[in-house]
Amino acid sequence: MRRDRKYGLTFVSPAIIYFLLFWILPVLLAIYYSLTNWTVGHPATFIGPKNYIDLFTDPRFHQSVLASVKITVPALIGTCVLAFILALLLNDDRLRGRRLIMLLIILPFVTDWVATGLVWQLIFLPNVGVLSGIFARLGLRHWVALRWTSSRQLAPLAIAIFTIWKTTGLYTIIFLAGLKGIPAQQFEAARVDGANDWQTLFYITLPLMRPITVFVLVSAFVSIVGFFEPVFMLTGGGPADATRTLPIFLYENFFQFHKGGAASAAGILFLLLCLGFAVIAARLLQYTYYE
Amino acid sequence: MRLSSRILKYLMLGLYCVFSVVPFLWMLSASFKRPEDVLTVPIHWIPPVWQPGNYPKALLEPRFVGYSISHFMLNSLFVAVITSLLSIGLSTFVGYGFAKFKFRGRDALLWGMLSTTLLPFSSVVIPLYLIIRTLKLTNSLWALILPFALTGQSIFLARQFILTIPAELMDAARVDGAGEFRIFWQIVFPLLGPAIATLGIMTFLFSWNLFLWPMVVLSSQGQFTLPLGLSLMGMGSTFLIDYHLWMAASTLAVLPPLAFFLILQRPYLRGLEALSGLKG
Repeated sequence: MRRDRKYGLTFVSPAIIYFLLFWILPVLLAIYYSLTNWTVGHPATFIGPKNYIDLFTDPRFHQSVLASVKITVPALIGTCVLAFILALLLNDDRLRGRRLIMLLIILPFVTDWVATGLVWQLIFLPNVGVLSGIFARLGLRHWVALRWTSSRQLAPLAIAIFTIWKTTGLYTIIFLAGLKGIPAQQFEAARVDGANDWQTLFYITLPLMRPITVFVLVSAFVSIVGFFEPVFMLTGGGPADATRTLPIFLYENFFQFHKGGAASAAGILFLLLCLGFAVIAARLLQYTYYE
Repeated sequence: MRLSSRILKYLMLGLYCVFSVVPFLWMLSASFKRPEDVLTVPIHWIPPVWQPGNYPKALLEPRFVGYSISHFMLNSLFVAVITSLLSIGLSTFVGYGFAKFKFRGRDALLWGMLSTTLLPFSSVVIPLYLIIRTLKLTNSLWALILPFALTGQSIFLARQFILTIPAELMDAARVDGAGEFRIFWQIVFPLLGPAIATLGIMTFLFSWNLFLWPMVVLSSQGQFTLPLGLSLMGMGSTFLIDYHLWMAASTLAVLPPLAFFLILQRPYLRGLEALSGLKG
């Protein structure tokens, strides 16, 4: 046992160093700076929790929470619903070309945000963009001039669409793995009892998929609420502040306005929010493991 | 299954595949066009005039204070390859410790690291920047490598694979008097082919696609990685942006990870499934 402890800790030591150096220490640093009035380039003085209190009365912070909600909700629902349906459709061994279809669905996920973001910029251009071209072909004349990325109403939706396109593949794979884990006897038993496809779906598949669905919802929420790139690529936070989500808010305050202290405070709050959900998701994961 | 429901199934899947692939097809088509053919209504899916010269132009023209897209590509390649190699070595080493030895605090440490894998990068970017700044690593490519050479995700993946190796193999070697490090290196590591492929492809794609982090830590354009260089293309001072070159550069940026992914698709998908906790 002592031998186990000695070698176990030796093998794990790089992880401990990594964890201290790139997680514990950075977070402690950020907590320290969040309690100061530091602006980058100037010395920092301790001011206590003032940054946190200011944040709660800052209308720009409220606005960014609102913007995050407006984008995350449709993106999360779209991603999860589409991924679940696609996984149900793909969960059929007799389906021809299944491998190819899976590859095509996962393609956006494995490519980078910038190259694909540039394409989506051009897709959303009013009058001359790809979407306008498609609307014109379909005879939807009055949709051709829609300002997808530069109107307050449509910009959050445009970012949600780009996000759904980019991430649905990942969750399709996860749902599909969950479906494959359901023992075939369950379906056979249902069929013997005379259940039709819909009854099998509602009484066998959906209840058995509940743990994995909850995991996907929680982890997809954390992941989507933290996306910086789709907003940066399509709108940069605009028009005005309609899509200035929390990640954009943090980035601007720290790296552009150099408000080191205030941005660190916002960063710590955002980290705590995400960590709360991440821990919930990890616990769900643990649950599915030992079942 | 009835024929009609089978047709409906293909129709729905096909529709989604079109949504998934059309942006790539449009990008590919635009990358061969003359500038005036890029944004047209109706859309020309086939370029009216083929202009393959867009590619060498996009790749080699030094439009960014003397640097070209090819320069950024080499930076990206360097970062992604070194990160992947380090990750393979370090994660299997650490994963072995987590999988095959019992010590107090092991599971707590592992689950702590697992929780970090679910955090979005934007939530840690400020703390991470503060430490890199303290270590005086800003504006160095190592700032893009070191924080990602070992991650909760890679440790967890390696551990999952190593759990399946029977303990008898190691016990037999111990009876023969082999040291623990020799056992890892000569007996365990050679058995980890699939794990290495998975770690390699996942780390490579992660590293190649990084954007926010390099944008934050790199300041001189000579160090820029490909996504950063690409994002600069859109900020051209010319009135008319060269969309055709932009799309050629984007196509070039998407090709290396795509090729690598297609070669290692099975280990990659296996890795995603292992991370979702469905294959123990």
